[in-house]
Amino acid sequence: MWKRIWNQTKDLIFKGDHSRLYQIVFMLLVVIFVLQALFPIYWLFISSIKPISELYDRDQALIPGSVNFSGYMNIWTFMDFSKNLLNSFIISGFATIIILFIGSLAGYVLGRTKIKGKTAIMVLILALSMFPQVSFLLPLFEAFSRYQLLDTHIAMILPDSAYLLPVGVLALRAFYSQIPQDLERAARVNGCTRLGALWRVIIPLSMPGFVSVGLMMFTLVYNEFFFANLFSMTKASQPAPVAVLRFELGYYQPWDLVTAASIVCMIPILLVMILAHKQVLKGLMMRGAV
Amino acid sequence: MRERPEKPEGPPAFPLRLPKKIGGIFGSFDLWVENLSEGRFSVLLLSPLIIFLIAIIGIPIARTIWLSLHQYLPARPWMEYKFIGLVNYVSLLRDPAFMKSLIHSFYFTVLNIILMLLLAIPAALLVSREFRGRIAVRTILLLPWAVPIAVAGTTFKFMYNGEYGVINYLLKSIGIIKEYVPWLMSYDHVFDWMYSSTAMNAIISAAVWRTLPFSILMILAALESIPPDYYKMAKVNGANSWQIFRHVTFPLILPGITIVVLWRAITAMRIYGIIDSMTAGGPGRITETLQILTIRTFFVSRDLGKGTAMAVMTMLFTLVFIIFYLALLQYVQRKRR
Repeated sequence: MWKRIWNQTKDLIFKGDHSRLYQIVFMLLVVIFVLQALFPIYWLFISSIKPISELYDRDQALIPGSVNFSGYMNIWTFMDFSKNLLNSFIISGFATIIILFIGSLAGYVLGRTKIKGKTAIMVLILALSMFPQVSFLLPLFEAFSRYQLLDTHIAMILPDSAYLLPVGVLALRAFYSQIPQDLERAARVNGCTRLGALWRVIIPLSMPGFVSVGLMMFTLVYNEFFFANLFSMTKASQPAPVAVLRFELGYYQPWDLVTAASIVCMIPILLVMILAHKQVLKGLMMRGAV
Repeated sequence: MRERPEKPEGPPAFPLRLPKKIGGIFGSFDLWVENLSEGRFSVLLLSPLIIFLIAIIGIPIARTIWLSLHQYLPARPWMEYKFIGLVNYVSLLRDPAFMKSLIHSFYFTVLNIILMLLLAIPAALLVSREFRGRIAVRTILLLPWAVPIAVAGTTFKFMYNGEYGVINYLLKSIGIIKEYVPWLMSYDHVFDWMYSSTAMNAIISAAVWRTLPFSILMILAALESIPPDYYKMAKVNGANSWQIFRHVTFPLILPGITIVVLWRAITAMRIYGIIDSMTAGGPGRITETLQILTIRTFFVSRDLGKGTAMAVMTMLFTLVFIIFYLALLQYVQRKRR
């Protein structure tokens, strides 16, 4: 009997792409997955526009009765959140530029030239980026404190870009290796120098790759927590996500401000994801496929 | 030194059409690059990467290993700063807090990977099908990846709250729990030897939510690299859908799944952000993993020798996974060619 039930469920799941039941189950599963992905984000948003009396209610309403935007006003006046947002943009912008510059040069070598030991170099680079961050945290902390770089943007730009560089190099390498060799050869025959061919032929052709990898890196640096948490102490360099964590009034977390600030600091990344999801997906696929 | 026969007239205009003075400098640099051999050209282009990585990651790792062999307590300057060999490591093995944190880390890693696979494989199979709004669903499934770790942690902390958390409300209205549970503050252990605590499980579910998108994507990449002819062949030969999954799809995505598992094992052993933003290792030390304990040793008890020894131990634990991961990546790449 169990075998029959098992066979029937198997048929239900894996057979009959066009049966009614199959489609209903399929859509139901899709809806469940979509809901689990969206619910925390939805809840964050709903909580940020709830009036405070409903926010701390034991019986939470899934759809708020009334709307109150005071949290969005107060984060600028009470918490000076614009400074944190600016810090975030400075850090992720500069780190992305460093990654793209160094990564484009190295990706060219790893993707297009034929030299010995390419695989070894790649493996070594990847291995370096996989060690836990604590394994180089303390010497970096000492060095930064010696040169008074703690609590500046540089203290986060340098480790973030170094830690994410290998991923960027590998993704860029994948984009480079898609460009046909003949194009480069044609440019060289027609009198382009080496760097000229790189600058005029290869880099314009891999612009989509740069956009994908750049957006991905921007998101990763923006979301990064480890160095942002440990190397920033005050408003001078604290990026927005870490500042959200530190919103405290005494021992009490003002959830209306925290939720509003979370939504605000997620907006840039969500915009990137929604407007450029194709590019980001492509970049991530490149990283996943390696 | 090799002369190029068809050298263009005048100074080569690199990188843009610049005024003559700057163009001269760039031009001579361009010429110098032109005359390098292939290997030296590669080294030139690789050098920024290598210098950067060695300066920011390589040298600090070496110094960490070197420090772990020394007695180094800035909080007690009267104690000497001297070479003591493996004493730090031996003291780690005797330290119950370290052993506990090791167990917590392994528990987190194993449960996280199991839950992640149970959700990610069906999700990837679903999304790989053709249906209307597929791109939209893919983008939505990817959204948790875009949420900053700190924000994800705070959100879940808010949702798990024992007094006004929505998870308590939902579970109670369904009837699963009778009273509100302070998820992140409960102390109960199931067994002492088989570690399990409510707070840890709550954190694991948050971590699974945050890392699900990436694992779905990796499995999806493996699924889409299967040529469609295989399915056609299987269908022509009379296989039903279960057989196709069992004998065609699954073996072909198995390397992809293994890569996901190893990737998560490497990143879960160094888990820090989500725990620090949700419980910061508490209540007590119930959710204290290796990284949290190491950072506490660095910045709270200031025992740098012991802390660096812990960091080296974490490195060693992940090294095994890293070697497997890199070997598998090479294998998959070679197969794809």
